[in-house]
Amino acid sequence: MNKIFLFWVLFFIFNSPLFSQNPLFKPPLSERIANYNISIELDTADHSLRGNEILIWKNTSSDEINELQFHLYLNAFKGDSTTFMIESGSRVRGVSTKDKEWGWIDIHSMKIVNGENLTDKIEYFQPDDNNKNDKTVIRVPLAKPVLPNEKIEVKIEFTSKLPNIFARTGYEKDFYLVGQWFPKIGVYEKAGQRNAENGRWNCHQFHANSEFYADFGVYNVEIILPKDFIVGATGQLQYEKVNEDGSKYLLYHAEDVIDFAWTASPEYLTVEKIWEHVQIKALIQPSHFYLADRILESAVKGLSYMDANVGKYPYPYLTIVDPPFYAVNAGGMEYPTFITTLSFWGFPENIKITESTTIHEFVHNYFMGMVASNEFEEPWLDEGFTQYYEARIMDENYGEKTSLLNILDYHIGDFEITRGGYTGMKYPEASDNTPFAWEYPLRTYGVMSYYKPATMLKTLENIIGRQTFDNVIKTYFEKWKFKHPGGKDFIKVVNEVVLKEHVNRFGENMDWYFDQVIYGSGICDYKIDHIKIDEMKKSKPNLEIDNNEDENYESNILFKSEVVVYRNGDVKIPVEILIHFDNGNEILEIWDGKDRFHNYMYTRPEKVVWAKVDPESKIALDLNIENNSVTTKKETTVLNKYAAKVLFWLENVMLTFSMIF
Amino acid sequence: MKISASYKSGFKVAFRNSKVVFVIYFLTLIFGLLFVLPFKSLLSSAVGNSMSVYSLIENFDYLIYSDFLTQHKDIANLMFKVFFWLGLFYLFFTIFINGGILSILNNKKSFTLADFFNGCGKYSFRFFRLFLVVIIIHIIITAVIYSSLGILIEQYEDIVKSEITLVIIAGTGVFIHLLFLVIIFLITDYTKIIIVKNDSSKVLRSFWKSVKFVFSHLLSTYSLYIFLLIIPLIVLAGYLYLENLFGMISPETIMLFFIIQQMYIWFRIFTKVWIISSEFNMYSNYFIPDIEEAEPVLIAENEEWNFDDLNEPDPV
Repeated sequence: MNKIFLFWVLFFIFNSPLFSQNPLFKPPLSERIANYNISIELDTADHSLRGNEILIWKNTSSDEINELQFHLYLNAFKGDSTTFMIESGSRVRGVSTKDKEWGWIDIHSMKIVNGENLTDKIEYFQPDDNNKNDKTVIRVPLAKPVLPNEKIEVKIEFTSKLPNIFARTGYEKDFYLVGQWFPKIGVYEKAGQRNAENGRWNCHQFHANSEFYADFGVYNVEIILPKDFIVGATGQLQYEKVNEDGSKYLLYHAEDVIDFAWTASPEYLTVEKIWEHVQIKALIQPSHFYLADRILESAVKGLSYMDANVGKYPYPYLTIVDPPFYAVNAGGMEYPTFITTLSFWGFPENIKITESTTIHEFVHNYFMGMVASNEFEEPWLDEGFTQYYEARIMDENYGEKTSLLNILDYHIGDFEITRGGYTGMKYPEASDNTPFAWEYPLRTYGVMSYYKPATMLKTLENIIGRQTFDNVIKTYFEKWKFKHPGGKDFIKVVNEVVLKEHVNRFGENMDWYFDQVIYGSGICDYKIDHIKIDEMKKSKPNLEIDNNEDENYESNILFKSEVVVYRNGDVKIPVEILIHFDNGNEILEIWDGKDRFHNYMYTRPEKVVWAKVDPESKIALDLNIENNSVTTKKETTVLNKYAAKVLFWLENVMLTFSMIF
Repeated sequence: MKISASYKSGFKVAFRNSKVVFVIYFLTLIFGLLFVLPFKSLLSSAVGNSMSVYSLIENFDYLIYSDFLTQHKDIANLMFKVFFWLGLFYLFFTIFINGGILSILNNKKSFTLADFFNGCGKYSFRFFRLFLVVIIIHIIITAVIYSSLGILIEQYEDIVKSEITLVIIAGTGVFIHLLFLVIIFLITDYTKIIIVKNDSSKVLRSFWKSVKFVFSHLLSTYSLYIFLLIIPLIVLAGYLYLENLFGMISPETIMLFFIIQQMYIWFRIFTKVWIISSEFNMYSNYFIPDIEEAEPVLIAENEEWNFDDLNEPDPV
């Protein structure tokens, strides 16, 4: 009797949708340390989620683990005194929490499956700032440690109250973007992983200037919500059933991902496109339907470019969410196989914000989604790389000088904006790239995480060459996908590949570069200080000069030309200097940039007319390209052009003002 | 018929008085050059002997622009400030010269600088008072339209599913504002005409007459104004197209486009005189030969317009 009963129980369990998943990746792509089975029900009346999760966590270290640490990210939106709110001034991307609903997450119970009840042992703590009002991290001591290679199953019952859309999570009207919504275990870094000397939990509080860090795993997520809602999520829909009570049951399955997010709205229109093995699904607002092609096309451009130049996108699906205008703050966010973009009705095609956002968030599936760096501690490793590839994909697909904006005679390329974001910053020397995300001084987090590292990568590409650079990135991706690299791991790959392809052309390794531009806060600014020409009489025929290229030159006059090149900043990068003479001859000099200045002297029958440092603009990090050249023959044409233009528009402004009377 | 006759007549008068146009044009050019020449020197010293800006001769280059703006924020700020303050100065200058333009049109004599500046001086204070009235009306109408718009959008924001509705509401608000703007411009123009034609110092009374006149003949006055307003916009679009097509890429094309630009500015000023001439013509010859005699009772009856200046006799 008991055996029959057990048989039927097992039969139903293993035939239930939750347990009848066909594995997607064989063998697994990752170590699958943090795995979740989550069952949740959305209450649209109070915008909350009630349910439970079973976390199956594997200890892949050689340590005995005596406590678990979890993120409770939603508690960042619990009130004005959380660390997130204090750091952000309760304002993110111009949106204030004023008159908005807060969000939070409550754990009702936590227990080891078939084991210890941990509920009463839950302790909030604040590893970063000791702010007792911040409840975004908990730790739970274990009576029995998790031994190496052992698994632990923890069942957690919880309620998540969603806030009004803030920091790209929450609800607005009937639109839901549900991110960072469940109790999520931190990362236990083994000794030797990134910069860990000993095994340690890496579980930071939720900060205003920070994103996330998590282990890979398998997610099975059951969602119950009203049946008229259209849903998109990380992973793939496995099963859908409409219940008699007007609700519907959905089961999503995702493998080898670091997070799970989902969206729901009754308004979405679904548009799909297939690219090779990837089914791209876009959930579009009805009023933005005409933009669906732009969104899907840009996703395809991103997919094909990254696939060819970085590595294979292994997942067979990608979901793109187009939030409504009243939840525009949900736009521009990345989750594994699930991204949100930005689009606006009536936005002209020659302003490509939708394309750049879609591509940017998709690229995050590589740098964050697969190469899962620690966004708390080294944000440049995901944002900087992503910004670099966004600019590269945009510029190569939509025009180097026109990819972001192209109206009449005015155009801006994506990399131009990227570099301009760095070169235009107020305090370029305020910090190096070592602070944790929330520790950057003087509001430099954005530039130091996105624009400066992207410009640094572009400069690196120009120094070592596109092909070597691509090989570096391919090697880095191949070696570190589904793992957690640190900055030093990337630099190690650079050194290996550069040494292999260029031997010691750039020195023993490339540390000299990264020590300055990542681990140093100096700036790079070369300039031609001046050109000085002295006229001298040629006393006797000078063999050296007679041997110059112009054989018919018969003048008795020699010119002593001096070109002084100066290094304003502390960053020393070998640089080229192009010297142009009045007979059309040119000399390309290479300066190691190690001294503060260097002067080049030429005694020749011809005079130097102009000199340019970094004539091909290889050093994108150079903060000021205006001082990169000097000429002895000043042209006024361009000044005349802009004087005429300014006069014309000034007169027009005056006449327009005069229309008032 | 009356409208086209006014256009033709206005054009002839404006053409006949093209010296007025030239005087205003040269004054406008001088004001512009007072800023642009020092600005050019400033630019020249800022750029120094750098060749970086040379690429701008062919095309717009954001890299050069962004570096220039970073290195010379003060110059960019100065430029925007000057655009604003010079625009404001020019507005007051316009208040001053309007009297000269209208007195020349009213006298129907050949143009002399003495007559022009005499007219400027004679009407400048009256027009300044009119300007104060007009600016208050502008402020009130702008505040009413945009605060209503704000309330409407706030109410709709909670129920609409798409931004299209909000864009339509906002667009309608802006359109209504533009409609009102033109009406205020019209009323201002006809008030000036009435003041000059009747040599009246009673600004409010003239303003009221103008309101009645404009609203009595709204279609005609509106059409006349709109047409003449649109012409410079069409010409500007043509100019931008040409500049985009050929570009200011060599000393020759820069000179050519400089001449075209200044011809356009001259044309804008000509159109302004054309508008006021046509309006003058419409007011004088077609609708109300003498509006003061036609309805003398109404103003006396209306107590709220019974200001002190209404009791003063008009200067003869």
